Amino acid sequence: MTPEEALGADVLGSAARTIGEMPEEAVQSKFAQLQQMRGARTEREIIRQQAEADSLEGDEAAYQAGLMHEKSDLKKAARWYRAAAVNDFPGASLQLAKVLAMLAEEHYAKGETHAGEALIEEASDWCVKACAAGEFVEGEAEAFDLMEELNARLDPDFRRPGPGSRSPAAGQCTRGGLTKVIAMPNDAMEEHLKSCGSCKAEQADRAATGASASASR
Amino acid sequence: MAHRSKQDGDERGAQARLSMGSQEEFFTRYWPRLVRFLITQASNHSLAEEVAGDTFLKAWDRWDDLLTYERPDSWLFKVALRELRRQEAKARTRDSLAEDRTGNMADLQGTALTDDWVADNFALTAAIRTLPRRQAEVVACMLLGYSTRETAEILGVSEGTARSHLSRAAGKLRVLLTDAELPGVARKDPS
Repeated sequence: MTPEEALGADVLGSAARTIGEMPEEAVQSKFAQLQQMRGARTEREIIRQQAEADSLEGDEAAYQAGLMHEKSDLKKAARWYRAAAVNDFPGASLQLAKVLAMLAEEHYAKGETHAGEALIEEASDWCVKACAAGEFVEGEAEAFDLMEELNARLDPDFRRPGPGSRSPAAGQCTRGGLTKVIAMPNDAMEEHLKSCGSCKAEQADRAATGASASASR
Repeated sequence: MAHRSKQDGDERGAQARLSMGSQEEFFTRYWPRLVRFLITQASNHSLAEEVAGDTFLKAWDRWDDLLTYERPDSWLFKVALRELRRQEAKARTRDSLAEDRTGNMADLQGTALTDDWVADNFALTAAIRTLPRRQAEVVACMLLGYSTRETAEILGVSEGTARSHLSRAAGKLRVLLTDAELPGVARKDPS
């Protein structure tokens, strides 16, 4: 779809044709005003403004660093994504939410419930912010799943082991359980299975069920 | 709006570089575009104008660098938008996640009294302000005549992402612009 088809040339055409038009007098007066302001700045103001302009490029660099670390070091990835997300860099808040949810899972797997809960809460906040900004473009369904899952995980009953649970970790999978995990790409699945106690328990359950079914045949 | 090819992009780049003949020339060409671009994105007109002014000060401070840029216009819009988003992010609190651009219709009415372009395109400007930030950004870049490739470069996203935002924005804009409930146009008093 071309931009013209998407927006309709007629709808935005006249606005686009005239957006650069402004009475010369108004432009000249603003130019003179800004030139005057420029001359009146202190050394400190000049340095601050230059530093500001330089640091704007840092948001994109932070986002890229987050992407780079996502596969190898979740903590570093979260730190970089957070640096970009606090300045509302496109995509950073959603990526941060995902990384924080994965980090939380690592804490839960080690039995560090409080740390896990704190991370889930932060992930949920960033997810809401991403939603408000309209970030959900690529993998939209995945993002909404994530949000739903984070909300569910903030429910105090979520981590209470149910009757017949083989492990306290059962029911805690961030990806919605083994069935969904198996549908993921192989790399992602293997990575997830390394750290998810819930999936390991479910796998063991399935293996046990399969073994008893074979035995009964 | 019918100019979207790579050739047109090159032409826009050439025009931008030509306007770098003097700071005044560059300002004359891009001030109206920049301030209106920001009006469609900001919660209020004064913030838009302040950020636009600051961006030109930054541009003049690094004028020699800018002269060597392939697309000095892209730099201008990119820096202004990042600065605006930073300022808004600082001001936003957890309790006010709803996009405040939507609520500030009085500000837009006031802007229309001093800016004919806003008055003439009031419904459109109001509609863009109701879009989620990422979608509003893409639409505003399209208003400036940029292709999706140029838009993606300004926003720091992939072309695919820009296209997806645009597609979603288009659907919402079609509904918004045919909605009878849209606010009326505030006209400047000709006297």
